[in-house]
Amino acid sequence: MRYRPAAPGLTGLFLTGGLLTGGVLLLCLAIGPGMPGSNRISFGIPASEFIELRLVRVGSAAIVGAALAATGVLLQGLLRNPLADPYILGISSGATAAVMMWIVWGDFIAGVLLHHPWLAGLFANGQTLPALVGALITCAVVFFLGRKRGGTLDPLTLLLSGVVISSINGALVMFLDNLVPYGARADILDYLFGYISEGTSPTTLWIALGVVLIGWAAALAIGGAMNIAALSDVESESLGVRLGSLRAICFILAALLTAASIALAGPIGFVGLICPHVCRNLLGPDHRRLLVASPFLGAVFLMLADTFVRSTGAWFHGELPVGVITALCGGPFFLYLLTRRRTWQ
Amino acid sequence: MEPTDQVRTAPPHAATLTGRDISFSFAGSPVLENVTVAIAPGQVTAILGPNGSGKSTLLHVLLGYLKPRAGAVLLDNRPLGGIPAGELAATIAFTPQTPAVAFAYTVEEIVLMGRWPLRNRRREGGSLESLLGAYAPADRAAARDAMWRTDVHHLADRTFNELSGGERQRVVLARALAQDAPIILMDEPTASLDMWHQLELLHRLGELAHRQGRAVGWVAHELNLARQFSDQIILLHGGRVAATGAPEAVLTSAILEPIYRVRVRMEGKTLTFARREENSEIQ
Repeated sequence: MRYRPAAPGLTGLFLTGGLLTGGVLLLCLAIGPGMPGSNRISFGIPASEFIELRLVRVGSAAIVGAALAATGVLLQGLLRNPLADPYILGISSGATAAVMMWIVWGDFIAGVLLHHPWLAGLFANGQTLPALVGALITCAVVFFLGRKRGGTLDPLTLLLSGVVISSINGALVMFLDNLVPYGARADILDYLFGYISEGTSPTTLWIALGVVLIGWAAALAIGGAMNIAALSDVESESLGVRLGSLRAICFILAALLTAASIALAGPIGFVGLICPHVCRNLLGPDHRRLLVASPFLGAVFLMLADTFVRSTGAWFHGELPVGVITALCGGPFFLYLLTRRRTWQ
Repeated sequence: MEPTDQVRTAPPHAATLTGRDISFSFAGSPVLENVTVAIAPGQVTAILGPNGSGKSTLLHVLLGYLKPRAGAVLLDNRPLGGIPAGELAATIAFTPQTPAVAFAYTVEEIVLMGRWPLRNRRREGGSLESLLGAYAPADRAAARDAMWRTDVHHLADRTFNELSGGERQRVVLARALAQDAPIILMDEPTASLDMWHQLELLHRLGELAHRQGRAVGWVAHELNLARQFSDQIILLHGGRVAATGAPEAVLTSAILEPIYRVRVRMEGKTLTFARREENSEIQ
């Protein structure tokens, strides 16, 4: 007989998660020497501006962490597979390939776009827009490949399509790398390992926050149906869950949330894989609880990891990509969970 | 907590499920051809037939999960396609042959899922919990009651996927009971049960049909159990209805022998089976 600790209600989870996230947010605002190049602060940047800069950075970490952790729950449920993370559907590889194309062909494209000032303005924000375009195109391709003949998404087909598309995108990156004399991979190495963008404008941050909040609310609304969908297809349908629509909604929400995270950061691994698992360990597999708890945990985890990276730039030769820390902390912890309890059987 | 009568819900309205001239093909090869059947209220209907005769496919078509190539499934003369998913789910309960679930849901959580189609009917309160689809106390009471009836109440906190096949089968029966639907369709429910639980389950199906007026359909391999516990038999062979009617009329050696390719004898009220000599020759 196995007992679970009495699971708290959803309201309790919301309160606990909100308080914890708020507390960690304040803590992270207070910690650290500031942004890279923050020496300038002491040379007369007003405190209000400094707070704003740091708030953008810490806020980005919270939003990205929450988006990735929510996406992890959505995709693990959608694919009925505990190994799914926000990038398993090829989303990050699509973003990376597009960024690579931008680096290699950007000058040419920009040359064309220069005659269209409005478009050129859109692309002025470095890698963000190409990454978004690449991610969304990849999502669309995987979505259409992952459908059965009837038109509904099939978990296994979806998973295979995502893996294959990832490989193709990976090969594309190498191919593009060989098109330029000295290679371009060095330019995106940081991007590949995941970093939280520093140049984010407050407007972008607000838009991303809005997208993530809307996506999160929509995800919460389908949590109950996602529990039913963990049963076999026939059983779920016989209980009134229309798998075709549910899976499509799930996929679109996952794409939306991942896109929001890509607008603020490079592909950061492990947050989306681990947070759902930790929550499942503590609270059981109920998706309604997971969808409340996991985003809070993701936000806290990434804020802390990013604060560590921010504060320790002096120890290393520059700031570490935050993806290095999430993987170095998250990986061993995941393995510990793996040996301790099999949460998905 | 012992089951109490106040939790027991009123008998549902009677409903008849009819399949009319159903044909169904998988990837071009026909599985069902012109099948006409009825699952009637107040009766236990057994669907029989050798392996590959189309029993499970027929069940899936009757559920509305598979769309027939020709013909129609009618719920009280309304085509299944025109009925909203939620209403259909509150009308027909289904249990699969080998139940399994992704992730470590507990038995109680699985049984509560039977209340999912009913929870939409009465949106109570505007609390966050109910907004996010939490189950009401009445749902939990119904689930506990159903678990007592199928002898799985002591497993409530166990992980569903860690249970034996027979225990899982009783859990999904509890889920079907909690669903409180006027029609119950079960795919080989007795396959992994021991004798005591087989008889308990079939006795329970009889109660659901005869005392509560529900329509019960079950796919069976055990011809004697089907004979003992069913009011109607649908015998499938090669995707067609080979015979249908009362057990005494259908389960005779003249009908069964060519279909099951064995020798069938009647001994009292029991069918006995023996290998036919010509079976040994490879055909």
